[in-house]
Amino acid sequence: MNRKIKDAFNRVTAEKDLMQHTEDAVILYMRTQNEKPQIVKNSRKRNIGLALAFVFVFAFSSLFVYLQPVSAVSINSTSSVEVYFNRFNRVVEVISYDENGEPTSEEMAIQNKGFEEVMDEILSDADAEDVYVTVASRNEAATREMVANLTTHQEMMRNMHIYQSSEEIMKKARENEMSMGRMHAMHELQESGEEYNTTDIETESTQELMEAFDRHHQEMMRGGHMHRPGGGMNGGHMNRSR
Amino acid sequence: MRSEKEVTHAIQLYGDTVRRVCMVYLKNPTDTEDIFQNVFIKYATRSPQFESLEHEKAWIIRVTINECKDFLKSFYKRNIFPTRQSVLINQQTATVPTEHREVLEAVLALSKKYREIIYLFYYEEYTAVEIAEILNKNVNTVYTRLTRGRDLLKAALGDDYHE
Repeated sequence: MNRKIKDAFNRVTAEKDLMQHTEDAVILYMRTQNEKPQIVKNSRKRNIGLALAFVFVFAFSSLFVYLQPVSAVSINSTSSVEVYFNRFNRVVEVISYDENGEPTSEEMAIQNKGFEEVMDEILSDADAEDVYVTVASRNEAATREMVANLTTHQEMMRNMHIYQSSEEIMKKARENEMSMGRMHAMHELQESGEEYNTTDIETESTQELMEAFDRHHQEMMRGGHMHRPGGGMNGGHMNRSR
Repeated sequence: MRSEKEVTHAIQLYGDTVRRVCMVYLKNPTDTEDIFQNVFIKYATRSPQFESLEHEKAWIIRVTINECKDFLKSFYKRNIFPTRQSVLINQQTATVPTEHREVLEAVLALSKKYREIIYLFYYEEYTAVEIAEILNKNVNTVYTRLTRGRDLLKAALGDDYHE
């Protein structure tokens, strides 16, 4: 039986057409498989790369935008502190200056805090006779908001003087590593007339400079709406830059 | 993945084996082409490293058997009325010379559980242990079915085919 079964099954062979069709179909399948994963792999890698690149760009852009200073408040008395705020009114930079307007290494733990909170903290610590606050922003609406907030403090602090400067002065002060309040005062005094020469202005302490500027400003405002020390805006007008 | 050359060589080498296994399981020759392609696609894409030609052949036979079984399951699910068995067997053996056709027809007429073991034992010359491994069955089951299949063949073919 063994031999008979073997002989019988030996006669069963695969047809040539069947073998050829099979060979063609399998090789076609193999070639298709070889191409497909590469394309899928490549496009998947590319998509992942694009997504990551987008995420990085978005993250860095967002961080850059967040950290961009848009507004500044300069608080000058015996010493000075300059606080820069971003477009969300959050602190992004704080610079302290000594009485001569030189930057110091003194740090304040107010990063990322809101405008109102920061002003409360700084102004509540101010014990000088006169405090000069200069405000500037790229955004007019932001400036008005800051001024409105500061006005409430002015009502409580008798010798607080609020000035509004310009974006140009703000930038110039940063470039020169100088307090914006001091830069604003210097600018206004230089523009005012001959009694204030550059050397005098540059060598005076910030306190003296601000006092001189305030006196000059009061003289300019005499006869009209004045900014009065001791609180209470007369008619609500601010000292405005040109 | 195997190379095209390896696949072409395998088709030439094992084509007949696959054809025979398909005959044992499928009976209907028209279903063979799909099984052929599936087996060799698996060979091309999923076959392991073989220790020897015998190992490779055993793998081919096992895959072919599994493909045939899968095909039969789906065949029945589709509720296609099967052609009468005698007609299918005649189709399968039509190309085989007359002197061998009777034996083939007798083997193919057996129930699947007997004819697969008869084929693997008598034609492929595997031992009962090897058959048990290929079919994933208990070796005692293989012995039992081998004995029973042999008896049925003797009954069908007569004492002239007694070994």
